[in-house]
Amino acid sequence: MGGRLTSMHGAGVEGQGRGQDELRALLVAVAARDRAAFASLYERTSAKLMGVALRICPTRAEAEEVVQVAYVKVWRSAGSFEHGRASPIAWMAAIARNAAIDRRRAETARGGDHVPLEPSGAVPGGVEVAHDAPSPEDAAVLSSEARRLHACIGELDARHAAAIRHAHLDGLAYAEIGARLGAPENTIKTWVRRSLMRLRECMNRDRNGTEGGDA
Amino acid sequence: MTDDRASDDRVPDDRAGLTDDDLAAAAEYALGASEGAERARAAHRVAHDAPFRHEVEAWHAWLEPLLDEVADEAPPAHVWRGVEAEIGRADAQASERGRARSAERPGRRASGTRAVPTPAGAMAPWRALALMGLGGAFAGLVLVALVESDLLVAPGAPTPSAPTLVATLTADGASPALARLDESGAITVRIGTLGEGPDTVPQLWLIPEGGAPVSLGLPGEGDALALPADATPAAGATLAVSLEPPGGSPTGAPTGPVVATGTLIEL
Repeated sequence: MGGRLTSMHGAGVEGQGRGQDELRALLVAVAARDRAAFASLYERTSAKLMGVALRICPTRAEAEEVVQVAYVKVWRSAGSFEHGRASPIAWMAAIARNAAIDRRRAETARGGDHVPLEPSGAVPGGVEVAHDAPSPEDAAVLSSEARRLHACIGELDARHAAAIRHAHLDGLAYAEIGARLGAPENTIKTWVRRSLMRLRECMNRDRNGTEGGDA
Repeated sequence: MTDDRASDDRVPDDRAGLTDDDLAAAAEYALGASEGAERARAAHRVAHDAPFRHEVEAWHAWLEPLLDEVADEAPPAHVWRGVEAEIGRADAQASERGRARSAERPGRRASGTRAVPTPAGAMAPWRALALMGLGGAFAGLVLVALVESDLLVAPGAPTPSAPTLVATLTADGASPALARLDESGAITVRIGTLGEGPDTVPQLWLIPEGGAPVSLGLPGEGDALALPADATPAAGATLAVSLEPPGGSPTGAPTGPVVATGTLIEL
């Protein structure tokens, strides 16, 4: 196992399930104030959360602060994690992402002009969708959920898909995405909102479509 | 939009009463794109509005594969030290008490574990955590984790010092159980909703490899179970839930159907 596609979930459905099971168990333990389980959870997930923060934060120091804030929040809110519904790593990554975005928005609001076009120290998000999409040979190791998402994103206009990635992975605000893609802020807003509804429909369609109707 | 809306009796309603604006707000918030007052409103709704939160979490799950496009990078050691410092001295002091108790007991190890035994008559110092549910009609995923209560976390080293045993049982996504370590060192399990029927109660069993089932008790909703001293959880043992008459099995072994089982594995 190696390469960027394996990450926390493991390459296949089995690896994915097993890895997520372990994280769930650790989160239950953390909710019970088990410091050893929390240390284990950190060991297993902190590289991913650091990666998430580095994509969004303008400096490495800030990314490190965000990761620290995120784990304190995980410690404090592990008891509210809804096991039947949420995915552990997605939940934790969202905590990190929200902390990073909150900071980024606050700095922009204060008139910070340090927001770089490329996030520091990280694999650049890239303007071209092709750099981020998995290559055909990688597709074989993707889970069914990943294949479905990439297929649905593939149905979007390339610039709309890029806007989605910039918002989610780079934490860019609409105005920043507009600057990157050369379109007005309101246009980006429309692209993103419309694309999200199309993605939602596509993800649900793929889940329900094969069931067909009652003939 | 397609014509599918006209025939959406074929498609299960997945909106949970949320309006189009709600769906859009949840999607944008999960994506990270919402800004200013909208973002603050959505953050508040996630904390207080369950259908809205569930929609946001659905987006987290849908978008999760994008995390594979984010390069991992281990944070420097000071980040972990900062986390530990921030989560407070109260927890560290609890660790100290646990460490002092453990140090007083002689070591005796079951195979594959680092069980710390207790003086005669006292509870085995295991901490059990469970997400429990029932199999069969209640499909879903449930985990049981048994964690040793050895709290000797080496300072500065974010590695667990205690083995964690996990079993996956097929079951409903029940509310998670919490472990409690009380001052005497007794470990209890509190297990969430199990959905037992009117004439049956769920009973939790530990079945060592090649051994006979040992009852871990009757987990009702919110009940705390004390792990009996003769329960020695170890990797390879089986956890099982059977449906028993009210009050539990009269024979000391499962008499009713076993609705969920899982094998303990060491994390």
